[in-house]
Amino acid sequence: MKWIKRFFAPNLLAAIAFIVPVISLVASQFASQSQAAGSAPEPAPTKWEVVNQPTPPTTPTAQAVPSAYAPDPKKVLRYAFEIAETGMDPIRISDVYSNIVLGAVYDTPLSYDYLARPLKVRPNTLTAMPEISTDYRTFTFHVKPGIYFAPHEVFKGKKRELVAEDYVYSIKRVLDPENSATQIGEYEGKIIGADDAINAARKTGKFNYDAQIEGLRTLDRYTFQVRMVKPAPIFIYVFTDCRASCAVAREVVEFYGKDFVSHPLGSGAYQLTSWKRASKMVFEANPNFREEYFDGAPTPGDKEAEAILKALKGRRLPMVNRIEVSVIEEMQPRWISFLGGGQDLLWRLPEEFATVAVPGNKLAPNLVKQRIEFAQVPNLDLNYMFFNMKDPVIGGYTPDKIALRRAISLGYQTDDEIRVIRKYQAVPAHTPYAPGVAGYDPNFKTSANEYSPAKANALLDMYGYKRAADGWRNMPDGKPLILKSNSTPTERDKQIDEVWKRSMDDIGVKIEFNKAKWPDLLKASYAGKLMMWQLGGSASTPDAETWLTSLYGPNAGIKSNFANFQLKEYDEAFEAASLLPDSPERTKLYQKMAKLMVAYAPWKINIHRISTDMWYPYVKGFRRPLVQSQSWWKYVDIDVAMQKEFEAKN
Amino acid sequence: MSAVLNASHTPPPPAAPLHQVSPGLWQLAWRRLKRDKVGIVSLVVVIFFLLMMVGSYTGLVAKNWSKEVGVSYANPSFMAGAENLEAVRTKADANAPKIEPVDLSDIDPLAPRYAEWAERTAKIKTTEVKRAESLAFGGDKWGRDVLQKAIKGAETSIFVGLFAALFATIIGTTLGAISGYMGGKVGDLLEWFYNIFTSIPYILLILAFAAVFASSPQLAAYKGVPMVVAILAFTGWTGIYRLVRSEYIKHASREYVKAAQAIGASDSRRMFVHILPNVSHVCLVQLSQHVVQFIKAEVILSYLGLGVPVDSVSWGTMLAEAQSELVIGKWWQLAAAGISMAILVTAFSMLTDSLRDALDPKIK
Repeated sequence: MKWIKRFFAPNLLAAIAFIVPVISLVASQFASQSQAAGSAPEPAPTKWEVVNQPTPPTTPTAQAVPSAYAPDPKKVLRYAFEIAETGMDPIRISDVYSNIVLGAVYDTPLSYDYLARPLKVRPNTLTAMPEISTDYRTFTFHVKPGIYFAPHEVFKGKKRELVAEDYVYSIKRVLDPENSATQIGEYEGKIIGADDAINAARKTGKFNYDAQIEGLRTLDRYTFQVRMVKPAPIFIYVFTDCRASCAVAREVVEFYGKDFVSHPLGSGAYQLTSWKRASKMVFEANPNFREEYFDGAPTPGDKEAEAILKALKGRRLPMVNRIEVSVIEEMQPRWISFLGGGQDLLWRLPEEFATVAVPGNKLAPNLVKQRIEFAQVPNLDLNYMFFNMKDPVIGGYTPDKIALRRAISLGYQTDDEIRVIRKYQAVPAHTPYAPGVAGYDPNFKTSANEYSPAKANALLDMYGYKRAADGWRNMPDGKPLILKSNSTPTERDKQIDEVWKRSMDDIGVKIEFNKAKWPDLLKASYAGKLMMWQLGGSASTPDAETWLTSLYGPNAGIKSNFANFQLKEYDEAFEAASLLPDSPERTKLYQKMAKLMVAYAPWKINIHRISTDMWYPYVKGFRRPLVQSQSWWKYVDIDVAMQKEFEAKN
Repeated sequence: MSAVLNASHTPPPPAAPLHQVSPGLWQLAWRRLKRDKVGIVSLVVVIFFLLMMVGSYTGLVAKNWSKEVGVSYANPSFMAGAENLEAVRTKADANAPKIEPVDLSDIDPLAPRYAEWAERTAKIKTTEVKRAESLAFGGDKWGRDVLQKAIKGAETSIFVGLFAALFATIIGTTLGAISGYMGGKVGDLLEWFYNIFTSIPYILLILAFAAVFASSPQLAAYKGVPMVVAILAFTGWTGIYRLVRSEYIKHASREYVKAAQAIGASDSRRMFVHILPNVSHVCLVQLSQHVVQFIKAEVILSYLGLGVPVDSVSWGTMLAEAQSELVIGKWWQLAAAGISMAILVTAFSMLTDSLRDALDPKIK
């Protein structure tokens, strides 16, 4: 094991002496630590007791003739998730990892171009982009004929075609209150007649799937139409999100009933063939997968994308026959497994390893020698601390309260978070939305990440937050000023707490931390009970609106506006922007909202993360998708000969 | 007779006590302990750690442990000059174009007082602290001295381990004595109580106690170290109880106890004056084992956020931090906490071993 020597050589002797006993002691007590903390809202995995049975095997009959094309069975891609999948029903999941899986099994009507950056939406199972009426209220989708679901006993040996009705049915499943679909908000109150259907179901306790919803209907076998209450220029993004619009077959859903969550079956490139919950999933190419060829539209000048296109253009998809996904929650075994050749690809290098693996964001010499390839991609995400505007200490719209929040923002050492905790796997955030989304302008920057303890102290002095004899500041009315922050009991959150503590000490503000589980904190923040909490989230759509909606007044308390921020100017700008497609005019409105966010400081925006992925050179064509539900498995290839060579070496 | 007569002519001998006082149990024990070299060395080590704990509590040592004096993961001085990738600064967004932040004054409620703000800011001086490249035993991620951290961490860990074990032993011994000595209904009741405690998995029990403590507003004031001690003591007494109980059952019918009964010693006197010294070796060994166990348990609690607060340090939190540091080759925090813990724990076990030997009346 050469790499071990390389990492530990300088310290080897000294370290080995007591590493083993102490680490085993500590490790045993920390065995379950995993959550990517202070960051993406990824709830802990639910574990089902039911032992999964693989999808029923194909019954070879006359009709189900395997299609002429099948990928080389020797091509296997192995990689690991850091967090277990939570389920396989597209509408019920809310985590990134299940979403990745389902993106490969199911088909959304639209998807993103694999190579284009910034992201470009293109038809997936449609013949063309949907027809959108000029008032952005009617969307007509034409499903491509000749797309088939993977084989299943319910289809009785016949090939089951994907039709417009499947999408209508799938959207109705999202509306069914019994399913408590995570994305119901995308349709509720937006599609004409959706609310009536939901209310009727709430009353009767049963959703009527056969009743026609006015704004959601099929025009013919291959055409469906969605009509909106209000103009919705960016509504089409919903049709790239598997959680909102992946097509399921009604027969299969009804066949499995409640157990559908463990039996995914779609028209996508892969089907689940074996599943050990929270441990290992195996996918194999769907024999009924439509004829599709590798293509993409790289942005001119994007050399990496151009190289991929040149190498793979015109290849029949999928190229890899088998995808094996393990769940390795601990970062260290995941990393070691990759270096030892147990995985072909390392999905997201843990930040802790960054200085060892990519010092100065360049690949370490020993990894270069191993011919490992890597790419760093700025995520479409944002980490921020929200301040509850209804809190008596920190909330409010008067200058003294604004000054307090602004001072806190000025005092936070974002640089330390990036340098020490994120190991440079992040960039400071200057806007409340990530670079690379629609509405982001690289020439626009706010002072949201200015660090100046001097300015912060001056501001606090100016607005009457005077220091008491013990050095801690008091409120203007003389009561002690104590911030009560919240975080989960993970090592990562503890580190972030440390940054907050150190930062607030410098400006004389006392801060305390309440520790609780993520779902409990979420509940408390819906109820408006938290003073402040640091959150993070990946974009579900590549539009700044994803984040800006979380500060929209009417969303306070019920939806993601945990800061309970309600400002007339902001709401007006938001409403005006929501009626516009991506345009300079709308970008102006977004910038106004960003400025208001900085001035009133309901959020302290911290960072956007960078993801570093690594893979062995025999994995061809990998490119990290920017939006979580975007499937990439079918676009990668394995050079089997080269893989053999590497296996021999290990 | 003659001897007596002779003596009358000579000065009386130095006043001999009327009757020889035989050395007590503790005195004998101390004599035996003094003969045990290992025991004495261990005692010295333990006393040294206790002094260190007191010293750090009173601020005599490691007062400035939280000062960030070095660069991130500063090398230990004996490795000064070794490559330290963690301290290398990378420009996070080197490619980002230089743009001035947008002017907020048109919408900013603070805008009317911008001038005053700038004026006040200018008056505040900021000084850049020079950070050392290497520290005596290395630095942690914030550049704090690991050696000082280990000393400060000892304060918390020893306090927690020692006092939690002490309280747990007191609870366990008292209940065990009552149960074993009394037997009957009282014994059954205590056994039933014991069964409840042991039927719940240990960690869950700790969590349940922690939840109760944390949710009670009166007790929440003692959040932090005292709460950890209480939680560990209330959950950790069961093993001791069981052992002490069986010892008491054994001893209760022994002759010396019957003899004590015959001369009219009360129940409590028999339990705690007569039997206790004879079973104290069991309690002491348990005490030492539990000190070690509780130092480790504090790690769990700290990890769950119920232990020491974020701005203080214990060996447990140091070990937790060391987990991710080891991978990047920064072993010194682990070494500092690990060595200190190993020395204390070893010394403590050997000391209690010697104490056991010294105290056990059967071993002369």
